[in-house]
Amino acid sequence: MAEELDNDPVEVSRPFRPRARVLQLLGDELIGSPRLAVFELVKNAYDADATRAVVTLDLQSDDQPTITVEDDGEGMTLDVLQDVWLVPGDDHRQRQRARGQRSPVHHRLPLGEKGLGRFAVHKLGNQIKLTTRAQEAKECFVEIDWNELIQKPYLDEAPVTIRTRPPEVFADGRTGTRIEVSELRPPAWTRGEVRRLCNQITSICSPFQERGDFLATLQVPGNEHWIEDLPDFAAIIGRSIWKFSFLLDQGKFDWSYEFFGVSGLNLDSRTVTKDGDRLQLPTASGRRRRKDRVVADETTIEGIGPVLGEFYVYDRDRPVLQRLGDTRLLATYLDEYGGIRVYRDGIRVYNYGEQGDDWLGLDLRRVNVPTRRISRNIILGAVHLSLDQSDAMIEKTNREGFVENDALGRLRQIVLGALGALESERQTDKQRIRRLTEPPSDPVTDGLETPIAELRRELQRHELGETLEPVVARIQRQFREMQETLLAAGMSGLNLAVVFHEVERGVRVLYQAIVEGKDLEAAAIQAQELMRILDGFATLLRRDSKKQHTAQHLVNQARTFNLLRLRHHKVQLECPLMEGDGDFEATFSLSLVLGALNNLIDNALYWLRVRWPDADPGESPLRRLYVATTDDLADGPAILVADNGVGFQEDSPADVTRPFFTRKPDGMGLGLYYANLAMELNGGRLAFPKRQEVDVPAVYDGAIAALVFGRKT
Amino acid sequence: MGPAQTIVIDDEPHHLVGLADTLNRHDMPCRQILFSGNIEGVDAFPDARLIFADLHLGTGVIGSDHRTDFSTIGSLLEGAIKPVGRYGIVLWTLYPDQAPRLEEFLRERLEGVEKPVGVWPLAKPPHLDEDRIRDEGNLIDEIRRAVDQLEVLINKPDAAEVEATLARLFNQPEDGPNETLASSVPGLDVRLDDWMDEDLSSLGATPRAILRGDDAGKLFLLQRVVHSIATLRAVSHPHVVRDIVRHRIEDMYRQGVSMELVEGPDVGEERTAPGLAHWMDTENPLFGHCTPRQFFEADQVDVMRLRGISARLDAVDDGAFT
Repeated sequence: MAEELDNDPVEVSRPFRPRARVLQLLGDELIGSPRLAVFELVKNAYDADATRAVVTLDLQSDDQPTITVEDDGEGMTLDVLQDVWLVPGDDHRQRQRARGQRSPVHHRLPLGEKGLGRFAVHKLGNQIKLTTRAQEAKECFVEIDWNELIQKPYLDEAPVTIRTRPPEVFADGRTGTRIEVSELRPPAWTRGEVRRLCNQITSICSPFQERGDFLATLQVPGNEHWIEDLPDFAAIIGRSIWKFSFLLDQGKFDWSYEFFGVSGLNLDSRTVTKDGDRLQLPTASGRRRRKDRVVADETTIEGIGPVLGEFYVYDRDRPVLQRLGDTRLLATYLDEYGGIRVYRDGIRVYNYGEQGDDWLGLDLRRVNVPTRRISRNIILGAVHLSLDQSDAMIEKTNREGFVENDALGRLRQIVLGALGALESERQTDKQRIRRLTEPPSDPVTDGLETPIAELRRELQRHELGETLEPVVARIQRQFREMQETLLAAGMSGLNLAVVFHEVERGVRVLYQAIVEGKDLEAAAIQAQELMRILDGFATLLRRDSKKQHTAQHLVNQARTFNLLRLRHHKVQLECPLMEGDGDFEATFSLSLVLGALNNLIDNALYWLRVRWPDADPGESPLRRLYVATTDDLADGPAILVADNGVGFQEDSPADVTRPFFTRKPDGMGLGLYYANLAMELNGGRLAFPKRQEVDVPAVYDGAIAALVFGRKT
Repeated sequence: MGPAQTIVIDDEPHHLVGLADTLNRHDMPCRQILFSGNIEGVDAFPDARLIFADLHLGTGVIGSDHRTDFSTIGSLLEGAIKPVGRYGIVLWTLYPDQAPRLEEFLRERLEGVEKPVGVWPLAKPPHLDEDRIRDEGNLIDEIRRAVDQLEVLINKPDAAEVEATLARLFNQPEDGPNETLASSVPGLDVRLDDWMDEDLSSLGATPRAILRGDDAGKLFLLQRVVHSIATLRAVSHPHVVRDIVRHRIEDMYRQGVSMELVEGPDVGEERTAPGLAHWMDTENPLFGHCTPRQFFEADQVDVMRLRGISARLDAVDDGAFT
């Protein structure tokens, strides 16, 4: 009998039967914070074609504080309430967006797509009263007690009652939706939280652009003074020292850079504008590295659409900050709201630009070149995307940014590339400011001991000592050895002070990053890069002895070192010296001068790729490199390195050999500085002859550099 | 010490000597190259199986993305070392996180030489105390942990297994040595005990001394000799040799050698028992269109095919298919 039962085929068809608590999971547990929950409700108002959304936080009654979000949008009919609002995961907004269906009044595409945003209300409180009215319809009223509702075993046993009535809230033909939340969670809102909420609500719509057709505001009846003195965004950006705006579209990069000057410092303002420029891209990080392009092209914005950006940048070095007035207010504001936000169709995408979110890794990328790089606490910025063209940018269900995908990786590269362009221009003005404000110091004799000791303490506290101690120890040792060598050998003329200073600042930035618990893995990588700067310069001081070598041998070594790169990037190398033309002998340290030559080739390779982007398979870009000798320069024979890249443009030789000056988004700005030092240590120099001074074929119309060897005495 | 299969290249003498001495003292005889920037001065070493390379070999390019350093290592492989067969690179460096990028760079750009089967990071800082190796045991342990194909690249046979194989090959009372083979193969018509004490000129030592000693290189060569004898003895000891062949294949599998080299399906990177079982139960042209399992478990041994398979395994060992 039992066997018969076991063999009896059974077929049961049953629907899923969600527990009532699934609503709690969708709202309370999915949404990260009450402030994000308010944002979700305001976004619903935007999607309802409202002109304004007013958030009222009424804390006057200790027993019954409430949050109300009221809009003047299209409201909901009974049918919409039943068929959409009460249906979790309903996709009517998503379908509207896919169809490109815009709202009737403001012609908006819907931001919502997952049909879950309204459940965020549960993050705010347990009692919900929803009142809504659509045109030509009765007012609908729904009251929900979440506590009671989620006590029910199953969702289908937890009915919600909708009542219709003549308009009470939305009388006089008005339409809209009002949601009142009481029995708040958390029950108490502090002044600080309310101020943050206020800033967050006002930043829902981009303050960077002209006020559009939607406005969200916060009211705190009885506590108006809590938010009265909040700094005005327009006033804050009015105190910036730099402004950079850009548009990347169709592979073309239009940008404008403005330096406004600093009150009390005798500096001219400066504006640079370029249309149709190339956007240099930094190397993409992590596993999502796609084809390794150095400049943006049409494909870079695929699924992202045109990217419009605006950055306001400040200077927090004490001598500058104190000239800006109301230092504390500005510093506090930047600490709290600094960063780069993302807006889509003018509405903010969280959490980009929030205090805990360094989505571009701005703070840690400073470790190597703290003076040049821009950290979050000196920038207020925004990038704007278009909703209908950014279909590859998919928002996470928890509303904390976009899903990590290839498009987001490219957006990061674009924004960091634009920031790099700003940093490149800014370094000129930063240098001018520094000349007027920085007291002379001699970091060669300054110690690294204090910052290193502080860093070590923090590493121990974060249990990173074992991982990073060897790196820190090496930084300390290299620094000390270099100091000793410089002092003992009387080599202060090498002007390595700037390098020392930057390393010391870098250690401090690293310390700060670790104190703040930033991405510790990235911190470790940055620490290694810091060590690399010192390693690189340590080789200068440990140089091998000078011997007589031929130029041909030197160039042949460099050619061999770079063979795989030249071949891979399809660079045509013309090198008459390999046939013995123009060879000469000189006495020098092979490793140092080889380093100098390698740096010139490394530079040329990069700028050739900028001017001649990677071609389609089968096609060869027209990249050419010329390495030859010349005796046309007065102070000695030289090895010429010329290319048909973008050239040095408007930068002077003094600029390009200055430490940490670079126009590469990933560069440290040490290559040509190193090359110059290496040649000086060998009795020569790095020169940038004019085209008419040397005999270089006309096809090499980019940069020309020369490693000049001193004449034998 | 046996033939070196390992190279260490560094431009810092202390780091070079520290690592090389450690390897030499732990059964990994190695050649040392103190790199001074002169690629032409580096000799070819086609037998290299494991190359320990410092990332920064004095290119002098600082503050860039290490690509000149990658290119230098590539040029050393293409223009100087010219490895033939399977080999791997251990990036012995202050910057271990660059290993995946170096691997990607070499896979994409190397031409005219084999590409490495892997690039594994080995961080210098934890193992260096100033410029000396802090703890050789730890360093060797980390190399063994880091290089997951170490046993494949640097073969070190198990002496007991080699000895057992020899015993089975020689001690088959029911089968006398085949006269034709005996005339062409030295040692085939002698007793095991005698053969063990013969000073084999190709090895420079007696098999017994090699089995008792700790010279990995010589043990490796002895194993090759034993496999050759097995191939030749397929006629006189078919069942024994078939068992040896089966053992060799299972060993290859455990060591991560691609099973495609002995025909049939590859079994992926995960070395699991079901993977090997799948290979054993898949029809395979090398085994005469039966499955390997059927071949190994048949009553009669197809001697000619067995010799073919055995020769194929020898060729795989020689790196002919890599």
